[in-house]
Amino acid sequence: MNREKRSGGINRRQFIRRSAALGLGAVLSPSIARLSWSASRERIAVYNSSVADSLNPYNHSSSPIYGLWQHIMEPLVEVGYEPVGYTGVLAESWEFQGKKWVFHLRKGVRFHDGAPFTSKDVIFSVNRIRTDKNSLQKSNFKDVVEMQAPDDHTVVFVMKQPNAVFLDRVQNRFILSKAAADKYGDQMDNYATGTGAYKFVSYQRGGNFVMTRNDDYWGPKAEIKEVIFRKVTEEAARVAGLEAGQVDVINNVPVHDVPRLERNSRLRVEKVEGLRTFFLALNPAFKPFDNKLVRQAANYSVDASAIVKNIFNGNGFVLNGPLGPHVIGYDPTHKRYPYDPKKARELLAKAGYPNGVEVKLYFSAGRYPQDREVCQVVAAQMGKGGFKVELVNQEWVIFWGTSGVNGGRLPFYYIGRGSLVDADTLYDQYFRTGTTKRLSYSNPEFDKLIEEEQKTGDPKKRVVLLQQAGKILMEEVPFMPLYNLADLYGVARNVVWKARPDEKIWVWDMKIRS
Amino acid sequence: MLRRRIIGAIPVVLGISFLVFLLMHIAPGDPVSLLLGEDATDAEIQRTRHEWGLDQPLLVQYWEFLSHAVRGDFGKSLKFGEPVTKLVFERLPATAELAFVSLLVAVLISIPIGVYSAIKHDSLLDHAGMGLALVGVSLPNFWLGIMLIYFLGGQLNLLPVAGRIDYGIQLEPVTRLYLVDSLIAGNFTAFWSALRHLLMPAVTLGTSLAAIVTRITRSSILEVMRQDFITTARAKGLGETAVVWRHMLRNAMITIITILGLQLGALLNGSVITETVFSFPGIGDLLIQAISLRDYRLAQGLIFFFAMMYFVVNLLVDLLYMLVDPRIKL
Repeated sequence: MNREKRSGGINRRQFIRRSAALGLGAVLSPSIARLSWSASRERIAVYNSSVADSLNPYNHSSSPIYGLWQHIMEPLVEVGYEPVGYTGVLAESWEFQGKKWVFHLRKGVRFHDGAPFTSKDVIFSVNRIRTDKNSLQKSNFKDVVEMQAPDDHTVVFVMKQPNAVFLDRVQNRFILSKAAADKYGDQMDNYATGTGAYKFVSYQRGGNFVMTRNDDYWGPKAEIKEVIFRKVTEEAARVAGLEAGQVDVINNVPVHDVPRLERNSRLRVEKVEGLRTFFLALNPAFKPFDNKLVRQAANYSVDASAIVKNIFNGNGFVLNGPLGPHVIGYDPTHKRYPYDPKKARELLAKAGYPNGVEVKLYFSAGRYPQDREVCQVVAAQMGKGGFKVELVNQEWVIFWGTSGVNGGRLPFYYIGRGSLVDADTLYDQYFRTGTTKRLSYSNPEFDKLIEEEQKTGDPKKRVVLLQQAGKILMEEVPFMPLYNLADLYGVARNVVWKARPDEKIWVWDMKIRS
Repeated sequence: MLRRRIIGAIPVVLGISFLVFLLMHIAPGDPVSLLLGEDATDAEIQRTRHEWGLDQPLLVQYWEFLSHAVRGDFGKSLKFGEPVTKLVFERLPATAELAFVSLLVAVLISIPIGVYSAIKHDSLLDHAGMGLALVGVSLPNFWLGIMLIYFLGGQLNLLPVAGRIDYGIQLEPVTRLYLVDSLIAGNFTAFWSALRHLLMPAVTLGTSLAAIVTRITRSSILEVMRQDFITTARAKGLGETAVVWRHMLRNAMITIITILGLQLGALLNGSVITETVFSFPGIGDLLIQAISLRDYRLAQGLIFFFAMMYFVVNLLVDLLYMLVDPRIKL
């Protein structure tokens, strides 16, 4: 104290102390400036747990990434959910003519490089999807034997057999500019050129994916000028970034953080019933699930609403049948098997297991929200119904691989089928004979209905067929329907936006309230 | 002598490559069904396995890998569909920068505390310092990372929670080390932004290292303190600062450098978790993705690079010995 007064200036120690404070201040001050923040029309930042890992738009098959790409490039058709059905994007209309699908393309649309959009671009893009070595979307066109372009605005797909589900296959297939491909050759992905409401600016793998508004867009222009997507896999970091105002929109808010975010005056939580349908697969290829009575007993022994209430804090929607209400083929008349452990034990006894039966339940911890807890509760509930359940946790790559689900090796497992828009996807992949090995359920009557609906052009008749197939499934129960979870987004309060059920975040849908 | 070291490394590298190849392929799991996703049919899975050569006998696959690897070609990643070397070099600078700053953080914290604790050993500050070191070494770094994100990021909004640099900052890539590139470009804003993004991951990664180095510094200084030449230095009238920094620390340095060299390996291992927590786009984050997807080619390439880095770091440590102690020759 005295020394300080004597010297008049500052000594070395004080100098060091003050410079350190100054340096720290300089490092930290920019964020202090943003302490009262809100989203702006100039720029929206999105932290998503899943963002494109490469500039090849066909090198993935994941709904959130489709959502990202659709800012830049567009498909022929897209799905709307109120009510559920297809609307045209680059196609204005379409016809299903037996083995042919005819698309009439929108006129006057231009790519970001100014080239007009024509049927040649569609054929070029589909050919690339089918032949690109890194494409993970090939299977969508496996039934197409020929493509024709009778004029600049018509495309005809000729199929091996009539395929009524084809719209579901083209809804996420984006159209690239053939002119850009001719110009840039194998470098074309670095110049991502589409017709979308946003133009590609820059991308660093694992870093920012940046887009800017396309002011010459053919449709209604977006309100927000610049969009930044960043992949942030750590949920605590997404939530912290949102609370700090470093980001305006995040996905997959953990349920335990929901009340805290809802209390924050600058934020809100956007909730929507997701498209991922959770169920327990009961594989009839294995004992005791070869017996219908055992499968029904299993259905009586699980209380899905208790799981939704206690594990997900109510952020879920119990299924009454195989499908949620956003899916084509949904049947509102289904009733789920009520929770009735006594009835379960009776059925088990009738099936020849009076002393109960031992089963192994497979799951992959960490793949889905709270999956371990869910399976533990399922095991405990089924215990009351006469099942002695042993839990087996496998790493996802093993669980989902050919030594697990896709090799038909698992008798009983917890699974969620995502991006489910059309019942056909679930029915064909899990319950029809021979499409995959996921469940060895085989029922000629069911197969016939699926074959029939895939040929049926009339959407109403198709739904009736799908509903009949659903009724068979509910009677035979080679599975146990559980719930759809709510998709939870954290959003800055002044962003006006309604989340879609399909995990796609479309920034051109957002408005900023001033 | 250097040549002998490099030739000696060849069998080690070969051994590592074979071991990694074998382990990756023995581990159950199937990249094909995972990448093809939920829409894949059985026929498609089989066809893709064939296209990627995964249905070949293991030795054939290994030979295929090795014969290309010696030419510097690690093939294309199954997931990204791009050359492994491109993916690695894209991300290596981020990891290198993080490792370097963590090392710097660790050294800046640990050496002064270690030296001080040794000189004033058994004082209150010594005990406090050593207690702190114990805490530092015991904290799991993923936990520390999440706590920093929660408090410094989310609650106080002092530092960015993810990434390497703020949006909208354009940097001409020269070295791809953002701190260096921003200085080259004279872009001070970019430099601050990169530094702010590095702080939390570097502290997370540097803490346990700092704790270890503090203890080692303290004990080596304590040992050196009792040597005759220190008494001599004091006897000839050298100031205490010169005795500590020029004589004690320099002689204690050999042990400290050895530990730093060894720990740099741990730093790279630690970066695997830290990078994931902070969405820091380095090779640690990439390795996690490669292994969880069983992207064999990418994982093999990455582990090979990790091994090479260990080798180079060890070589550098040996060269540093010569610098610190001229009596040592390779």
